[in-house]
Amino acid sequence: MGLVPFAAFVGLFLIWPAVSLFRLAVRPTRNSNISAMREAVTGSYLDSFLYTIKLSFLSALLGAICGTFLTAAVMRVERPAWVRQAVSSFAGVAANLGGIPLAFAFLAALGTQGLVTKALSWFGIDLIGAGFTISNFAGITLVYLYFQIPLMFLVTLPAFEGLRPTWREAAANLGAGPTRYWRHIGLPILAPALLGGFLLLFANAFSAYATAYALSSGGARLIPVQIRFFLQGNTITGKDNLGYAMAAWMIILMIAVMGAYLLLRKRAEQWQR
Amino acid sequence: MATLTNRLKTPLWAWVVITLAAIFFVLPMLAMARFAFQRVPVALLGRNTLFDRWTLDGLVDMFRDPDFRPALWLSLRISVLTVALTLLVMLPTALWVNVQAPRLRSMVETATLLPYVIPPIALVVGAGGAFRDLAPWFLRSDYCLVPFYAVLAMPFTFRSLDTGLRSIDLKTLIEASRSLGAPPTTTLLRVVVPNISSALLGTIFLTITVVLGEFTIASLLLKPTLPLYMSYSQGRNPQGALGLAILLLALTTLLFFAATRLRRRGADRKMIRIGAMP
Amino acid sequence: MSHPKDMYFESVTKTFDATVALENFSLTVRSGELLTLLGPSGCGKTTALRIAAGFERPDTGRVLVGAVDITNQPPHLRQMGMVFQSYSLFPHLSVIDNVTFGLRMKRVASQEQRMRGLRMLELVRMEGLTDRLPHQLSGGQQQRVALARALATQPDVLLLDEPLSALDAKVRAEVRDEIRTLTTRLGTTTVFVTHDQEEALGISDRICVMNKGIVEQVGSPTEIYDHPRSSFVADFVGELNRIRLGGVDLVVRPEQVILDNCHTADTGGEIVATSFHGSFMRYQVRLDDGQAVTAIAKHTPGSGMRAGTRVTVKIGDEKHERSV
Repeated sequence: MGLVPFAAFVGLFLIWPAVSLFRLAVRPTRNSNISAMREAVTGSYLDSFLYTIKLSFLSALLGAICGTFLTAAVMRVERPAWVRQAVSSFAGVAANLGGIPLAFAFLAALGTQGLVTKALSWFGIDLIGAGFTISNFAGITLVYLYFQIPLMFLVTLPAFEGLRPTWREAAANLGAGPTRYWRHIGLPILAPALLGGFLLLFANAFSAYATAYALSSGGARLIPVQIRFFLQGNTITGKDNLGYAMAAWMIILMIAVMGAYLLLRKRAEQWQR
Repeated sequence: MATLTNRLKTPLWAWVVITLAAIFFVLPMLAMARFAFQRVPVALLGRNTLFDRWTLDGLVDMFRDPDFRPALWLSLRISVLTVALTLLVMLPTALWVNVQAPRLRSMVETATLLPYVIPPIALVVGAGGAFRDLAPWFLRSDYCLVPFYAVLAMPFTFRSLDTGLRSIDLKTLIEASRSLGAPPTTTLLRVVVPNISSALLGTIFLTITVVLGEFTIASLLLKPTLPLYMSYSQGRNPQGALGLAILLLALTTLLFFAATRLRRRGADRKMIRIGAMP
Repeated sequence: MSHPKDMYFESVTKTFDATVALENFSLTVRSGELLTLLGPSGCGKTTALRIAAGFERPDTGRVLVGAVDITNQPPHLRQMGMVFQSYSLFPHLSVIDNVTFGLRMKRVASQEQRMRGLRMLELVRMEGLTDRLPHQLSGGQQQRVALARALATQPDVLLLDEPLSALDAKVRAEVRDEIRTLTTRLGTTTVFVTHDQEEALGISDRICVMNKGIVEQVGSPTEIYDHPRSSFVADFVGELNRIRLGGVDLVVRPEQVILDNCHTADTGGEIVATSFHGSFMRYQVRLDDGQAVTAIAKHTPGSGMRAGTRVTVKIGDEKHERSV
């Protein structure tokens, strides 16, 4: 009973738009004889999906690895007590950073006129000549790492903190040194959290719109930007079905990824008791 | 009994990792700040010009721009309304889940994570399709952003409120207040709210950071909010735009710091779960 | 089976920052015995245990098992089994995998691992739950599995770090008896750490009472109880009355105070509170000169006295009177 306002709110402003999306995606159209849902995953549109998946996968993988090492490193710092505090707080901000400010920052650092580009050229490293630009595949991946690594940190920190010292000590008593402790105890216990973190990062990268949009040229191939291309404001491009279909596929992918994430999270929580 | 733990020395690799991370995360910010506040082209930047021509002119020009104020006010008004809507919907929900139906908590919590399943770009596209025919007036209003922003903030706001409520023994508090003869409204306003004031404040701050950072929905619905204005003015006044980005970033950081500080003070550490959503 | 050996702490000193946890601590744990380190929190008992396990290194002094100096041996190379306060089972491993973990680390053949694991689980009466995960077990069951895990590798010494303190009273007694039975049966040398004197008296062959990093007294439970060598031991182990009767300072156990409701020449007083404990009754008595005394009397039907009753107070066993 008390959940009625919440349910109504979520239903009206989240569920209903999502359902409408699917309704619009499967709606028959005159100028095409195959369904938009089918068309959205064929030809160049399929390439866009694969490109986006590739980028999301790579940025999630790198983000997960770097983020895990960052967490492990921060866990080992006890002495200046403010280090962990500072990294946590900064990660909270950076994980939610994106869009225009982030693109600005990277353009100012690594753009053709960027500070770091210039500094590297002093040392004889020609970043642009080497084919790097902030808006190609590698560039976007790098920019995404700016919010992916902190997100991974935030997800894994509680898991690392949940590793009880008694587990390490019990393992040592039973004959497992540091290496065997990590192989048999530490990593297996962290595994659900790490894998879950990777999935969350993947979903995060796949659905990032603002950053992709701000890095215009290279971002244009990414699905979120493609969706906007077909459904710009209130104008009718004639291919709006395709935009809806892409968004629908995106939600389907997110349901799969986030579902797996929630399952892993549940498992990790169970072990913590 | 308290065990005295081994003081392990921080190994070198940990410092290397942290230093590398610090460089990666600080450099772009420094570069942005230099671009925003220094009028020296990168090509001419050298040892002699490093401290030349630092200025706030870009930012000042931006404040003088006639389009700036309306964008600022719009974002502020939307912030206030989003905070109000969030408290109106999420506080009763969090209370209900904590007092009446603890068994439904995990279900509600999962529901609050739905914005991760339906990302902003999909949400705005679907909302456009859903409301265009039925309530076109809704999408025309600048305030149509409010409910969507409240939805986007949901994972943060519910968690923040729920953690605050869980750290106090809510049920006992309410029963005690009632047994002393306080009517429900008095109980809510004079017993519950003061006890979760830090969680409430944290929730408010987090909501504002979401509003000040949101770009996707405003951009697709063509609403001239501050982030959108920032993006448009990039061509006319790049220095001002970057300066504004830095200002917003600083403000967001401040709000976020305050929110996490408050949360830490108000909440039991054990409540922070593994795999916590940021 | 490894040969039973004594364990020695030789003048072990350990300091944390400015606090001295152990000072010149020497103790022999005889092979096959169950020795309890008893003391208030911060007395150094846990530090001693952790030094034995290898988790802490002493600043000075040595630890030996038999003739072998293990002071600088890393924990995973020592032959120590340890049971922690709580939550030490590996959460991702089933009960049997937890128990056989040590055997796996010692590269025992997997057939034998399972056999020995199951035998250990039988000994702690957990053979029916071999495939459960730790979070599906109760606290008492978890500690029994932890005990089986620690004993599975047949360690030189079994170290128990307040293993009962997270359990509720009834389970605590059960697990305590189980530890006693099992270590006696397997002949395992055991060091048991606790702050609970009742637990210590009930389970130990010998008790080492510690305070502020120093050994106060080592002896059998009855020795410790009946002949405390310092006022700290007397106070910490069992309950104590300190009263002054007829110009003499006395230290007496509550069960040595005899209350009588017929008047004699002895000291008089009044019962101010009573509490019934089943087999015995506790009385709080205020003497006429204002001193407070606690007395315990065995309960027999009809023997109870009510609050407000006038009584005379006598001290029973004379040899325990001593001035402190």
